[in-house]
Formats: sequence, structure tokens, C-alpha cells
Amino acid sequence: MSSEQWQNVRDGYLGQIEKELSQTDPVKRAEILGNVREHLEVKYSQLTAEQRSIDGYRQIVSEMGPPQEYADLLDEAQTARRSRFGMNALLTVMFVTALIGVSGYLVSAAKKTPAEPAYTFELDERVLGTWVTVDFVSTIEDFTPQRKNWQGDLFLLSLDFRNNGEVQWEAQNRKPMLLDWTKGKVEPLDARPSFYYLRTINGQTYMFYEWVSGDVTDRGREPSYYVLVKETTAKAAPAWFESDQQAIGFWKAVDFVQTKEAFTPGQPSSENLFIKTLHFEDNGMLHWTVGDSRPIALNWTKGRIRPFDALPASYAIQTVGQTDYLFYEHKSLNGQKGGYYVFQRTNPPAPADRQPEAFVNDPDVLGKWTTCDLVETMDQFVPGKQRWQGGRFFLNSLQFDAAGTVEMSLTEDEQKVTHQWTRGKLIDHQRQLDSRYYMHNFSGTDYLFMEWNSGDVILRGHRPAYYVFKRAEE
Amino acid sequence: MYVDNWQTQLRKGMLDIVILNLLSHGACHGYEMVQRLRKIEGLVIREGNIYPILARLEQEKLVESYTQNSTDGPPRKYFRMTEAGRQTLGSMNGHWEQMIVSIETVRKGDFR
Repeated sequence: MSSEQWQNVRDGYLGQIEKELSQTDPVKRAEILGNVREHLEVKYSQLTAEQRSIDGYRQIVSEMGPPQEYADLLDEAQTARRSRFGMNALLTVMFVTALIGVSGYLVSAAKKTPAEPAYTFELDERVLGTWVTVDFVSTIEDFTPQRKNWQGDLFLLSLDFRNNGEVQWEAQNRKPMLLDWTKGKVEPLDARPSFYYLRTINGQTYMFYEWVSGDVTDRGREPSYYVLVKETTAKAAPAWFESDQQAIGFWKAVDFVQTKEAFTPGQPSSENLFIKTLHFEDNGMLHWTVGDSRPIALNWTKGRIRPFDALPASYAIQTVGQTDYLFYEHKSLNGQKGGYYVFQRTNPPAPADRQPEAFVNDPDVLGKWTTCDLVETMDQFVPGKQRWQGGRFFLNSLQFDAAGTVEMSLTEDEQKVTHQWTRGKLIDHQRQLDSRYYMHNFSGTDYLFMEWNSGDVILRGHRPAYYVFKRAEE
Repeated sequence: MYVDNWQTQLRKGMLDIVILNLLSHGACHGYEMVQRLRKIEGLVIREGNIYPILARLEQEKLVESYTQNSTDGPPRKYFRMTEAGRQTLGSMNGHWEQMIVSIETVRKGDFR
């Protein structure tokens, strides 16, 4: 049975393809999604235990190719005719091939597209405004406000219903899209629209929005549902949250101990604590800082941090001497108890928006570097003796330019991501945690070590691993 | 960079004929198709690329799919060429061979 983390990555990728193919014939779209899903599950089933991580799952998705290419390849005929390479012989072959596809595609498109809208917009004033997702369930009856059903990130973030028949659809890592809606359904012209239903549970109104995936259109399965509440409601405390007034406020890390009993105020046994601060809000939101990060948002409820995570952590507040200390149970990556971070109350920090950093060049790092290893700590690295046994690297290369831009190449197909950098670090505004880099020379060869801030670092407070790079050969 | 772009366009244009030729040797499922293609030097494709092509070929009745039980997992969808696909492939391969000859003629400068 596939892990929930894998399901999130898989469904996120399929969702992106689905949207790229939103203009495609629904039957064809469903076929493609079903085939891609089957392919993904085969690849997942062949992962080793070490590869079953978020990086391994992303590697699978990278090897499948960007979602945009699916629509591009379906539109191959038009792309071929616009080719700028001017090779008549090649164009002839492509055109012959394209004729087969274009004629059938154009006939299909002509039949599908009506000259005028086939519905009249009917306003539903109850849904006007912005709704944010709070859960994802297989059936409406599965939903209970007291406990979040979906363990992980929700792909769909919000729906903003407007009185002109448009709804703005927002999802993880996707640009907002404008769709059509009318009373009771979204995308009414689709062969299979997404219906929505309103239910009042314990005095609170919830929207249940059908998630019409390929399983629904192709395999005849019943849709699952995103559960949404009005945005104003979402900012209040969620139903699953139980407050702990003793925890509310700001805390700073003062020690890390193996057992609570080992803690002695004023005599820290650990230095360079990775988790720095905690800020508990009275609405289920906790913000923590790790390393040099900006505050990172997590969920909490009384006695537990990340209560819906695969590895939730517990906390307890105890008085030692005459001072309250918060003991946060820190688990290792395999879920074993690793010790306790100890926090002491502190004053709220002065508000400080992140200012754009002035770029400081580092001439020693300019140019292209290719990955040669991935290690847990820098001192594990041995030149010529690769430690990473998890197959292909997710990150293939870095290319630094003197303008402050670094291009990351992900996998052999060179999917590229661009970040800013300055001397000593790669700046990742979205992830809130910069990746520091260090240069070391072994036997006359320069190596670059870059912190890899995965989800285990951002969300679970584990120390980063390091990608190791060598200069790319000319 | 120019050559990289050209190679990308070339590969995209060839996917139809590549997949049809692969299926001419027997039915297979999508994952197996990708594994076979990856063994061919120089034929670099992204794994998901085959599915929109297969969808188009299937819509044109050049390829058909069927589900077959698998001994090592859930049932899998297999693809095989139809008779119309065989005939079309024959025509495409003929055009391809002619194109190869044409390009060689141009390369050699034999414009007589």
C-alpha cells in the first residue's frame, strides 16, 4: 500500500496534468491520466526502502516529465507546422504524421465546442466569496470537524466564487485559474462538471466540492471531496484544535537533552541548537524557526505538535526551579525518540520583514558544478567513494552566475529551477530557509557542499544533509 | 543550445513512428515500452511523453488497448497495433526511409 506522502506527490502531479489538459477531450484526458497513474504506481512499487522518501518520489515525477508537455504533445501537429528549423524533409515526415492526428483532433474539437454557452448562469449567493480547504474525504459522511481526515498537504487551496460566473481556483504550486461556475457546479460545460454541496454541521457551514479525477471519468468511481469553509471562518480555531493556554506565546531553545531529568537550568549540555524558537498561537498555528529560517508554520494542539503528521511530536511544560520550561520530544527520522529540545519563555521578537539582501559575489563559486555525492554530514564525504546509494540524484547541477542567479538542474532531463544566491548561501524565499554552501579542497580538487533543506529539515527540525559538487568538466 | 533545441524537436516529431514501430514487435504496456526505449542509445524521452502519443494513436484507431491480469500486481493496460496501424506504419516507414535517402543526398551534395 503506497504511503500518504507518495499519494500526495502522485496526486499533485496528476492534478497538474489534468489542468494542463483542461481543454482536451474529457475521454482522452481521462485515458491519459489513468495510464500515467498506472505508470507512476509501477515506478513506486520498484523503489527500494532507501528511495521511499520525498526526494525519491519527486525523482519519479521528474522522470515522467513536466505536465506542460502532455498538452504540447497532444498539440503536436500545430507545433510541427510552426517549427522554425526549415528542414523540408523533416517537415514532410512530421506533416504526414500530423495529418493523421490533426484531422481527427479538429473534427473532435469542432463537435465539442459549442457556438454559445450551453447553460445560463444562475447565481448562488450562499457561496459568494472565498472558501479555503480544510480537509479531503472519500465521502461526505466521512467528514468530522473534530478530526482532520487527510494526513498531509491539501493540493487544492481555495475557491473564490464571484457573481459574474467565474470562480478563481488556487492550488499548491499552481498559478490561479479562472473557471466557470453556476449554481451547484463548477465547470458546467465539462462532460463531468464538479458539483458542490453545502452542509451545516454543528452550526458551521461546509462546502463539499467534488474532486473529479481520472478515476471518476475513466473508471467510473465516485468522486472524493474537498471540504471547504469560508475564509473568515478558517482564520478562527479549527474544530480539531484544543488550546493550551500555558503554551501560548514565544519560546526560545536553551538546551537539547536525552532525558528530561538530564536538564539543568543554566548548564546547557548542547550547543548550536538547530530548532531555535517556537511561537504558539491560540488557533492551532505554531511557527518555529530552524537554522537561519524565517518562521515556518505548523499545526499544533494541546500536547502535540504536527498532530496530523506521520511523525507527530509531543510536548510538555514543566516547572524546574521556579521557571516553566517546555520539553519538545524530538524524534529521529525513523520515528525513534531522539531526545528533548528544551525551551524557555521569551519576549516576542521585534517585527522584521525580510529585506532583499544585497548581492555579494563569490568568484570562486562561479560556473557550473555537477553532483558527485549526497552525505548526511560533510565529514562523511570521501572523494572518489560515493556514499549515496539511492540511485540517481534528484539535484544534478548548479550553475552560478555573477548576477546573483543560480540555476539548479533537476535530473538528467534538465528541469531547471532558479534561485538567488549571495556569498555563502542560496536564497530560497519560498522555502523560507537559505541553503548555505561551503568550499573544500581535497588533493587539489575543489568541492562544493550545499545544505539540502528537505521537508524533514523544514517541518521536523532535522539537520540538513549535504549535496557535494565538483566543477563540471568543460 | 541550438542543437539541444533541434534535438528536442526532432525527438518529439519521431515519437509516433517510434512507438508504432515498437508495437509492431508485439503488444506491451506503457512502463515496459519506456524501459525498452530507454535502452536505445540516443533515444532520450521523458517517460510520460508516450501517453499523449498513445492517446492520439488510439483515437485514430492505429493502436488499441486492453487490460490483462498481471502476476505481480494489479491488472495492466496493454497496447497493440491495429491493422490500420500496420498499414499506416508501413506508409510512415516508407516516408522515413525516403527522408533518410534525401538527407544523405543533400549531405553529399549530390544535386544532379
